[in-house]
Amino acid sequence: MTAWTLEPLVPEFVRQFEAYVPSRPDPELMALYGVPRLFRLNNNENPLGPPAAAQEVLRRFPPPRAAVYPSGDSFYLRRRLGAALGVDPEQVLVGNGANEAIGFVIKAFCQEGDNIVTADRTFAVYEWTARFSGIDARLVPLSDLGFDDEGMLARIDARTKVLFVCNPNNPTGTFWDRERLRRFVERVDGRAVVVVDEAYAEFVEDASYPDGLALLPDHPNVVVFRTFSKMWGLAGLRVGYLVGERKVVDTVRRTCTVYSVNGLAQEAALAALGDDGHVPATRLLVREEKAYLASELSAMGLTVNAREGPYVMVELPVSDTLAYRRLMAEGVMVRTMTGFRFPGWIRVSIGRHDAMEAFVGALRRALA
Amino acid sequence: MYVTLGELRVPAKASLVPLVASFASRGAAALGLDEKDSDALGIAAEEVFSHLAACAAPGRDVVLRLDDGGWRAGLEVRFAAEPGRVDFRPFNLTFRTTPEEDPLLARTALAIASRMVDRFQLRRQDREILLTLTRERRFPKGEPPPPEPRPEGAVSARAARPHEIPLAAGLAAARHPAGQVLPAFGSPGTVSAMAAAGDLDAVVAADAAGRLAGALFFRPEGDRLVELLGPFLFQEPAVEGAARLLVDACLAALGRAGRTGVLARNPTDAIPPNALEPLGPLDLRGADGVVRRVHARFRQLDEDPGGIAHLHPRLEPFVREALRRLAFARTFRLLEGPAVPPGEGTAFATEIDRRNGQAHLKPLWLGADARATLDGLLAALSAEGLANPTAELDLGEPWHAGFAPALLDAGFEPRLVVPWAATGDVLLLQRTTEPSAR
Repeated sequence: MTAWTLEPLVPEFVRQFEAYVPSRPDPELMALYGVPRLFRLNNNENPLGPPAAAQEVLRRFPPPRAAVYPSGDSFYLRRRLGAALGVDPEQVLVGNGANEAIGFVIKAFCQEGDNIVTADRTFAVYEWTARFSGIDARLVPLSDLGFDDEGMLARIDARTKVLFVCNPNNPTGTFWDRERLRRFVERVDGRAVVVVDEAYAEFVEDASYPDGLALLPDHPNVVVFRTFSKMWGLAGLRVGYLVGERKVVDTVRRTCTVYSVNGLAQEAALAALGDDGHVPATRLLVREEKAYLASELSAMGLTVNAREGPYVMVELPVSDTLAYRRLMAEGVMVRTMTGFRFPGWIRVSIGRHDAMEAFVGALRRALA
Repeated sequence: MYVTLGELRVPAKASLVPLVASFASRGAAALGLDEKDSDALGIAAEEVFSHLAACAAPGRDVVLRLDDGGWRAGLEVRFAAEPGRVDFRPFNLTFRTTPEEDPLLARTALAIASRMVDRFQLRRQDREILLTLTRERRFPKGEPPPPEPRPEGAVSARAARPHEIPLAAGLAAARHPAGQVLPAFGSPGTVSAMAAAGDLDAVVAADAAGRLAGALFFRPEGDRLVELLGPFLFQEPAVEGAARLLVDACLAALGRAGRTGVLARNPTDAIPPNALEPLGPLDLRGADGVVRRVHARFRQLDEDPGGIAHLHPRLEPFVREALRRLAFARTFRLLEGPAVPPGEGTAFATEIDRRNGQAHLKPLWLGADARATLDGLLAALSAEGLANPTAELDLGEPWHAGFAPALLDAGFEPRLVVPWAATGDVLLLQRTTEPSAR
């Protein structure tokens, strides 16, 4: 047998990159940690689940339909989204979660030697997708926990193709208001595509929070990301979308994978949009439980960052990864934040009250 | 960044020994090693290849790769070695080949090779054996830098600039015992070359004018971990909060580096409480030749996915307690049935770091002669002045558990568990032959 060498076949930028290891399924984790139940407070899922109408679609989905390919471009869902958002359906591109849309955009606009610009402490997938595609990710430090517009503008050069702005930012919950976002886009002045990721937009109640879509008529280089995974409770079905000017979306469409959104997901998303009561009910739960958490954690002497979004950040007196393991042994799963470049912090998703109580109790014991 | 200078694929035949030796020595010279060092690497390659041709892998295809690491030249020797089809005994450092025609020519080729290089590593990886011979470039020793002026105003932590890394290393070496710094810290040229090669990096705490309050160094440790050195603080009294800034900046820098954890074998007293979790004691020899008892610390960088720990029953209490203390959830699988298979054939992979006087053993193959093989190896290491050898058992590899009785009976004691240091967690054992200066 001859020694075989894999390395020459693997591009350098892939060699440098480590695979992301997702957490194991709940039954495996419960068996490992010896706990009878697990509160997952790590992924910012909607504790209320999908809207009732979407749940009904899931219940009634005829099993034989699973044998049939879905609409390859989410035809009806795009039409419904177009009507709801006041744009041409051809301006909407649906993906297998917004993560897939990030990949579409980077593939569409970046080639070797190009770069993207984003923040250092934000949703990691912009940076990861760029890096494992061989594209330089320029990371601008947050300023007062928010995206630094001046810093980002300063990093733009002739090879900058995409700017990613997470608004509100995951995990800090800060956001740019209408005026700041518009000013930023104006100063970019068409030199790069500006992606405004509004994954958590529906959770923000502040009147100054901007709708990125309002920028499209004047700024065709803006692309807005939204998702059904957060407010709409369909994370398990993976549906996200982007909206942009027709020419931009047509370009992105060249790099997208058709048929990547399954039929059940398309129908559930379609139904979800018709539920008017879901957003206020979710907002109420998030508001109440966030206040409860902030109060309990502050009483424990911990620093809490609870701004926009269905999550809060908590600074711990011990390592976040140690706290994670201790909390898991109590049946509570949170997100460690060393990976967000906030060592010693955890991010806790807002859940129902029993989950919040379980977390507070478990954290007290973990830090005792 | 490592650059492969050249690769040679040849069958392990005695007639090709000169070609291999020339490949190694001339390649090393092309990489900037002086004549003495290039020749040494050539001799090491000659010994290893002769050994492969004579007994370890005769006729097999061997791939030799010469890597330029900037501050060191590395010769990697790799060949297929399927368990069950290969006799691993010739990979013991003590294995002696004795030509039939002349018993007086008996030689321990691998031991000879190990003496010719700064670092000798042998490991089994999947179905291959990898032997790495490393010879370092010699850089002049630097003068200790003058004391660093005290920072003024606010201090923040950031990635060290290239010129700051050798400066900070020199400051650290001037103020801290040899066990807490690398031997290279006294040589600015080596430190700069290590940094340029990606083998050493640092964060510094500094004021706006660049006056350094301290530094924390880090470097890759195996495939999954990062070793921390420090934190080193440069003033007396130290700038308040500088150590915490350094640790946080370092962890933030590593947060998305794809590494599982950080290991500090011998952190300074400045390390903030609760920043890293204590693992246990080790007796390590510093660059000054003094053996010191050090207390290693660890911190995971990502969320632990859980895992399986394969154990010999004699090690179960220690490992369970070590992992419980660190709150790592593991499924324990105890070795069942006879620990040792019939027949001889035990082999250990030996790693020797001559710069630090350290020897480290890893299981390669288990046979009924484990204890005798180990005794022979320990005697040889002792004769070479390599005291307090360490050994590791990869708890993620079921077959490693069978080595426990031989190691324990030979005087090794379990010292600490390093989570995810190999396929799974690694149990580190040490045999203390030389007392430490505590």
